[in-house]
Amino acid sequence: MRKILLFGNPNVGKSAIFTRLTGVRVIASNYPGTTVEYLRGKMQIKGADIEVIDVPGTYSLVPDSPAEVVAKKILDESNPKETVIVNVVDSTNLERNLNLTLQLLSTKFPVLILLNFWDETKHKGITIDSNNLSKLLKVPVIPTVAITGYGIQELREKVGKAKPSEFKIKEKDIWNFIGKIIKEVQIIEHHHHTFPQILEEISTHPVLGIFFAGVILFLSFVIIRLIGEGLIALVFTPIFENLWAPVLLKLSAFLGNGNLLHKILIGELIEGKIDFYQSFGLLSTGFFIPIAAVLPYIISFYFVLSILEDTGYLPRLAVLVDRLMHQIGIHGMGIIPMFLAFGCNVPGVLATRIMETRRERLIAATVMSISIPCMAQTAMIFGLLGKYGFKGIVPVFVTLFLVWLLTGKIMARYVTGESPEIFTEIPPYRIPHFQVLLKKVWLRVGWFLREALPFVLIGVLVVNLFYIFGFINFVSKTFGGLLTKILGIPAEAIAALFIGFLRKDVAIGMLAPLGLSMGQLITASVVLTMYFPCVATFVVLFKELGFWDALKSSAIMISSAVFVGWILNLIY
Amino acid sequence: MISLLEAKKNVPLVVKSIARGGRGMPGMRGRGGGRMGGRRNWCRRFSNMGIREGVVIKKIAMHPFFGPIIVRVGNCEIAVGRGMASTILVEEVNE
Repeated sequence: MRKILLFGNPNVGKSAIFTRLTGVRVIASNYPGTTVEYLRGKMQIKGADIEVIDVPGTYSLVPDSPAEVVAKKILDESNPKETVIVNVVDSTNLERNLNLTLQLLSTKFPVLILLNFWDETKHKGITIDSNNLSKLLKVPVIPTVAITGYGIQELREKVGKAKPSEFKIKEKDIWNFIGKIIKEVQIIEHHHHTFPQILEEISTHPVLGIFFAGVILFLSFVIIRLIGEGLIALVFTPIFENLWAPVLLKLSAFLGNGNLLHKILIGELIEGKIDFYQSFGLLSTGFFIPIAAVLPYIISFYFVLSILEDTGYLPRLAVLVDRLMHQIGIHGMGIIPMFLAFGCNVPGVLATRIMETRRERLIAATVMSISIPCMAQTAMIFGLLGKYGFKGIVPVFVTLFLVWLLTGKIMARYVTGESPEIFTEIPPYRIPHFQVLLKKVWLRVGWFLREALPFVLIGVLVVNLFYIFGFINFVSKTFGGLLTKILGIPAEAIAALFIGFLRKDVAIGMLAPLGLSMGQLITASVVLTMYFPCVATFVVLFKELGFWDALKSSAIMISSAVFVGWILNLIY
Repeated sequence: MISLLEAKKNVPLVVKSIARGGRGMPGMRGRGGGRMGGRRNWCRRFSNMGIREGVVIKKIAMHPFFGPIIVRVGNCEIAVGRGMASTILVEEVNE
């Protein structure tokens, strides 16, 4: 035996079992040619290294979604003589899970069955005779509780001895046979509602659910901001200010201030010092933005998102907002990328991968880059307009919401392709497994560093070169007059628009000393949010949507930003 | 036999059949103009989630303004769009 494939329906605790078996050495890989990710790791049995693959969750071996196609392919590529399938089954949902189990038993692979969530069966009044099940299916059946590790040792002992099942069944007989099995091995007694079940009912209730969602979302934002700002203020900024800045100053002295290389690598010295927000060098601002300003938020978002994901709240939220999301041509699950985008548009665009069709992805990514301000931007908008109170801030967010709705509606009308209806399982609330949670955050953060960081650096380099060769000045002068007429904001503020490409919160900050009126500030804030995503989002848009769709997306952004700016200018 | 859309909430319902969607049948088109794939396809997706002929289910919530319907099947809950839900034909269980 060289390989273990962990198969199971979605939400059966497969990842927790995987973490129990493999420990920390885990690689997330995209299946070639798809955006479906799966996890690979290694475990040791009697000194031998065995590869463990966490196959994407699937309901059946006849694939219906990209993830299920990948699951099937992974199975087809494996050699039955060297592979053991460990089928993770949710024992509180035995009947439905057995469909996949019987299909797996009909293959040539040795199969082992884990009855996971064994502890939950007791709370739910379910009794399963695992020995009898093992006899009926002719393979080993092991009750497990992934979170506590119960049953994992037995799995380690038995997995090496697994043999191919002699079990054979025709596809049309599967459900009849499952009915027979269930009658023989499972007894369900009536039980009283437990506290999580009451919460479950509240959170999908058409009215109460909305209040519940409000509370959960508010708490999430508070926690995200707390962790994000905490990391920035206490960890990342001190590291850059105290350790990295002196190194750069030495390098600056060595290169000599003012020459081309200095401008590219270090940028401008502000009063003889490195200012990480304004120097704009590759090694100064170029490193600082993705690592000290964006990464802390990425860490805190992914942490909170993983909690919402692993407790099972997200599908409930999706149900509540399904109708609203259909207004813009995507179904309820589209709330997940939108939600993420409020932190940072980069993970938001990445998360559009969960949408099933190209049409949904294009709409979701465009609409979010246009109208959802990231957390840093939101903070700056509050800083600028906060002094006017509600009448300063509310117009910005109301306008952005209307833009979200209208752009989405228009795109839903004209973008071709399909938008499926929501059809999703709503798993019961569960307490997240902490190690699985951390591993998830770690994998996602690693992904950001590997995939996004290099592109941010390239972006900074390009903007820098544009600056040095006077291109931005030229554009600013050429289009400045026109934009001033349309948007009613002074030419100096137009320069901020161009900085906004690099870092929108910095750009909004540049408006502060200009002494703009409230109306001008509202216009500038909205236009800055809308007109173009920051360089990191822009690059990720291209990677995720492909060249043409990203170009379309950008064209929509710029034209709608100018249009909405013009309208706002007329109002104020 | 009535569709899941018209069925009462919180009573046991037995699934009689999955209807064939047709022209004018809301089941053929998902909201937002998209289709849901062929009938065979969605029958299989239903049965993968445990919704198939003869099974007893319960409608536990119906979200307003054409929102999704929540169905309890065995020990789990499933959210189904109304177009798809309209193709699930059920009968109340007589006790």
